[in-house]
Amino acid sequence: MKTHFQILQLPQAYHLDRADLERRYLALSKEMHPDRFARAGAQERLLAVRSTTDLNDAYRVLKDDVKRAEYLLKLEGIDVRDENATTATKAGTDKVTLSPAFLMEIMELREALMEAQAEGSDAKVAALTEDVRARRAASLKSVDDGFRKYDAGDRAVLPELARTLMGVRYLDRFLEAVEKEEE
Amino acid sequence: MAGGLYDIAEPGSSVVKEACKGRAIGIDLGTTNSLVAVVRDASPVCLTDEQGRVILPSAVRYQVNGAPIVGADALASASKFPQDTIVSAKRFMGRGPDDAETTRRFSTYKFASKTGPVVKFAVAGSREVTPIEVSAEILRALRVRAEAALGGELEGAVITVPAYFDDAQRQATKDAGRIAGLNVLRLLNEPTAAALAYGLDKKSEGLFAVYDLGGGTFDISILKLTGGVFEVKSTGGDTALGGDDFDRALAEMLMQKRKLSDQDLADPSRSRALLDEARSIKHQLTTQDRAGDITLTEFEAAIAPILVRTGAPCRRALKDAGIAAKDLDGVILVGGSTRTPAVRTFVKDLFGKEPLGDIDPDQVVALGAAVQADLLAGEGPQKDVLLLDVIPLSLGLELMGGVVEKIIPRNSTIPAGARQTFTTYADGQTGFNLHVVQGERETAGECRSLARFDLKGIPPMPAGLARLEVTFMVDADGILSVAAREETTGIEASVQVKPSYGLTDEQIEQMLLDSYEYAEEDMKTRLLTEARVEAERILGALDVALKVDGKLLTAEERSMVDARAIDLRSAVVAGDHRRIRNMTEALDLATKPFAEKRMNQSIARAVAGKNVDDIEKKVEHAKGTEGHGHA
Repeated sequence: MKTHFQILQLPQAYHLDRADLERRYLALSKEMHPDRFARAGAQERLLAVRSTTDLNDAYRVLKDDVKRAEYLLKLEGIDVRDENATTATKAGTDKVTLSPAFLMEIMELREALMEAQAEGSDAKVAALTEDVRARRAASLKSVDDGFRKYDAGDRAVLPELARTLMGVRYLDRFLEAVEKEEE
Repeated sequence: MAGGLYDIAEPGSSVVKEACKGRAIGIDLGTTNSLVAVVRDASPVCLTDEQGRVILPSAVRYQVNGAPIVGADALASASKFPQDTIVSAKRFMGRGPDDAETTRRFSTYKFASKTGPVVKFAVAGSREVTPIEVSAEILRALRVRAEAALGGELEGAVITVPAYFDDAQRQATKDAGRIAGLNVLRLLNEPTAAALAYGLDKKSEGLFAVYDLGGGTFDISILKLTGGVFEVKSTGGDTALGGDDFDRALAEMLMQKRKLSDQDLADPSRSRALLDEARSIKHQLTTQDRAGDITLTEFEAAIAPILVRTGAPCRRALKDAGIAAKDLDGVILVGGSTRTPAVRTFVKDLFGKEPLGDIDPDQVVALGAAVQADLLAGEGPQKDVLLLDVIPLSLGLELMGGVVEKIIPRNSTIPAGARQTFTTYADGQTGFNLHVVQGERETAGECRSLARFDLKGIPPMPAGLARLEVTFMVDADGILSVAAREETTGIEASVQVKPSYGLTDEQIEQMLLDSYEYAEEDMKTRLLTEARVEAERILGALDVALKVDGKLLTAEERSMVDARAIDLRSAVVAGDHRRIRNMTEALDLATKPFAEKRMNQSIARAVAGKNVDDIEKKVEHAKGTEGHGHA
């Protein structure tokens, strides 16, 4: 199994050139897309479908900052989508845990959102959304900084990155709840 | 250049290729009208019938004896034979007998008793036909038209479908193509086809919205056009919304004006006549302020709620694409219903832009399909053209409590795949019951049910120990297959997702045999011809590939391939279609390592070679003209 980075023939790093990523994706698509093999034999057609499926998946993950970050952690053995994720340390493994203070904040934000929605106050919902977006942006900034060290070879930043990304998932769920209500 | 076996042009190497030149067709199988087009002298044209007509009305009239009548003649007598004449069969494609579509007002059909998973019409000669067979009659008429115009067997066909068609509707369309005796090269989304025709004709670059309002379906797609790449960013729509609904709204109005009751329309021929009159009024109102006793203002008020229903999918598609209306470089109108002035005004207000409609909205989809067919057949000059399309609706599995777990989200680029692992919830559970659904809602009951299948025979284990790995794969036609495997025992099950609303291979073969067109003897000849053409194509392509890349094979691999090729050649001479098929398959298997090595070679070249520089220039060029940074 090739990694998403190997498929696009890129080094395993968070920081990448988006335009270069797109160029690689399109160049590879032009070579392996099933449309290029419509008249070929079954083996080749199957091969084209499988390789393009993997390519599409790799591109979908790598072009998105959060998905790329989560994927890098997964390659390092930390699944932030798993509630019981652990990180390896010298003493063994540590469960990735969010600080109780952060969890409390999230709970308060969710309660405030529910109240605002119940009141039908668009202004309050908007203000809360703005607040959560700002927190998310700040988290992504620190993810970006952390991965700068990782890209330079520092693995010690991984547990902190995992915590930040887990936090981002809570913020995303908040934003999803806002969107669902809007629809 | 280094792509598929067929991308390599070498003089004198492919007799078959010569024979099929220009014979891949594009078909727009519409709710109201259908068309067929082909690429001639590097540009697509629609083919006409003997009377010089481009449009084939999608109407089929079944008779007690003899072949069904298709097209204008069927439509003309529809009010005389309301139950034997099926119009708008597309609205029933992939639907079950209990679908809401079967109970709509002004329906003139007689539905067969509810046996089996597919809706059936009861027609003349005590026959029961599925919408798939009705569509196949339309496709067959277009195939015959194309064969007459092009002089002989076709290489294959691209058939268009609404972008918002679900898996069952796509499968039904593909089955209809097979029953019509077509080699279906690809199902192509209608808005993407329109963008292809439009983009290549106008050399357009940038972000475009395609607003496609047909007879019975509505689609919206947002595409990015750059350097020959047509990338669908998002799509949305409603597969039961279109010009038909304008007719119904008008018919309702006529009933009120004339004080007609439902009782007055009990006779289906009255319903048909009223709908025909409504359609005629609608057509007149595209250029007049008044038609009969209906004014333009009244008509526009009647269809306003229908137009509003197209707004929400448009806004969601923009959001899914991550853009605002002002980022669009153009809005392309497709579908006969966009001739209605109120539709144009609505679209203009919605997107804040004057829509483009300078290619005939009735023809643009068929023209785009012809371009794609030409590309797939490897004939086109446009080697740089690439279509990247998406699935319209999320695909998922029902979990405990009826909750849906999305496996592949909507707007994923196809082909797409995903794998997910599940565990057992009860001690000693020996089977999994998998329910595959499509849709955006959170509970399975509110999504479209695609298939159910079981994985049995797992030894009893404590809850949570068995590990079920489920793999979803969506191919380039947007059709899903699902495989499931229990990891600890290796027990497997897989389905091409079709049992719920589709036909089995046996049923399709039977329908082919039942069709009026072929006697049994003809059928055998046909099967043999098909097998031979296919075999010769594979052999021809292999020769070319071996000349270019033969060095990639080890001596052992080479002798395997050569031996299988000799087997196939002798089977072709012997003339038994089953043997030819088997030997073709055997050769295909033997070339697997070769195919892999060639693919790896092209991949290496793609990223390292000049191909990248080539695209680089185009991307930069496009960025210059686009003026916004969506990547």
